[in-house]
Amino acid sequence: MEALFAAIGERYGRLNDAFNNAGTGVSLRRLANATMEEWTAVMNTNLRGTWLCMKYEIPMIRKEGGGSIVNNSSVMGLRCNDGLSLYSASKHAILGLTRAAALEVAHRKVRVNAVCPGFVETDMARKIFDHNPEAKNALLASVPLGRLAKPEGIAGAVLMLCSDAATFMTGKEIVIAGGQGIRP
Amino acid sequence: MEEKRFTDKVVLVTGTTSGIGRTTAAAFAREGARVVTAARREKLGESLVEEITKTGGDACFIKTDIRNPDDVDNLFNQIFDRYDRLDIAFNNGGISHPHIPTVAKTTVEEWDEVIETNARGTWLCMKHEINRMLKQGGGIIVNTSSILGFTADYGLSHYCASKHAILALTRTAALEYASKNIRINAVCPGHIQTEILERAAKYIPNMYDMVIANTAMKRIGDTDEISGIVLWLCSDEASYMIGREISVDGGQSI
Repeated sequence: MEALFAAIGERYGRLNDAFNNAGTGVSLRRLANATMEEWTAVMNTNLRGTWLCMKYEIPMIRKEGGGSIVNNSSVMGLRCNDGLSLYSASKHAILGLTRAAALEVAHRKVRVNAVCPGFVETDMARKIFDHNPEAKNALLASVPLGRLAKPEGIAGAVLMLCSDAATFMTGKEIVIAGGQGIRP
Repeated sequence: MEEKRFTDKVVLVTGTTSGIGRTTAAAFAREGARVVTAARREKLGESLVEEITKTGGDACFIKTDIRNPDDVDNLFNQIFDRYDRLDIAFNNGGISHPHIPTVAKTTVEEWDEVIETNARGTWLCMKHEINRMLKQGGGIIVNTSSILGFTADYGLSHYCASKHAILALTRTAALEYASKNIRINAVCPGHIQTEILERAAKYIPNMYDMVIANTAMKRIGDTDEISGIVLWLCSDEASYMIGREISVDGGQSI
């Protein structure tokens, strides 16, 4: 991480906005069966990784007089599905971190928000569904729009959050989930 | 040059005589929409239309009290006579009471006025909008709720109830019409520099100081900090988003 931010400083001399997106870990194993290794892998990447990024980003963005940070949580940051305990815990925690950071740096003109995507048509998802079309159908049954999100559908929200349209928005999330998670 | 995302779209905005509605209607017009504005105060409504048309935009005003079902009927008859369609609706018209009665001291008149305007008015407009959008194969609706749509504050029981109701309407309708290509979301503003807020400030000493102390950004928001969010929700970029709200409150409700 130190190397990453040193390289940004060297190359551009500044950082204006950041999208902390990297994440991992959908093992589908129930929490009583999950291993310490799985816990560490998911939490270190999703939660500690997001925190560490913000730790470096905030001073750099402050130095520029302000900017915008967007963290990638998930609709699983607000709800949970069977078998997603560790992933869901990490994504809930990212929302907690987002809100706390927003409070701490608002007066420095740094805005911190999150996006909460539903199921996105990524290479990872496609690989899983190619082998298991039933899982895809079950998943789509839980999405009122009846289709998966396109990565572009999330990217647009991230850019909007970093734009002048969102200058009074901080500590909040935009849920882009095709209606998933509205019903009890 | 400003990007034009709504060229020739027929857009309805209610509550356009002041505040968020006025700014948002003008923003839609700048991006090429044909804007139908609706509100109670004729002079102020017409003055917005004048401002928009003077700068090359397309707008009309239809005097409407969304509390009155006949007015709402007339509004939609006129829209459909004139344009025969409705692409986007921003149901924003709403009121609050500057004097802030506790639950037990609220009168039936106060209760009815707020609930019938904010909750019933929004539902009535949605009813007309959805029926037309079903016929034409789709559309987009954004409702104005509030951060008081998911929190509460002293003396605002009727307002809070009405704004909670608007979120519930938003979510239910989003589910019901998800498969019909009608996208429905809400925006939840915090404290924005509007007439409602100015009026409240006259009744509540130190209101601005108290609000600013409670808001992470330490300021009141501007109406164009809501209109940009509303236009984004109505754009193609939000095509996977339904039944949700975007809260814009400077960090007040964290």
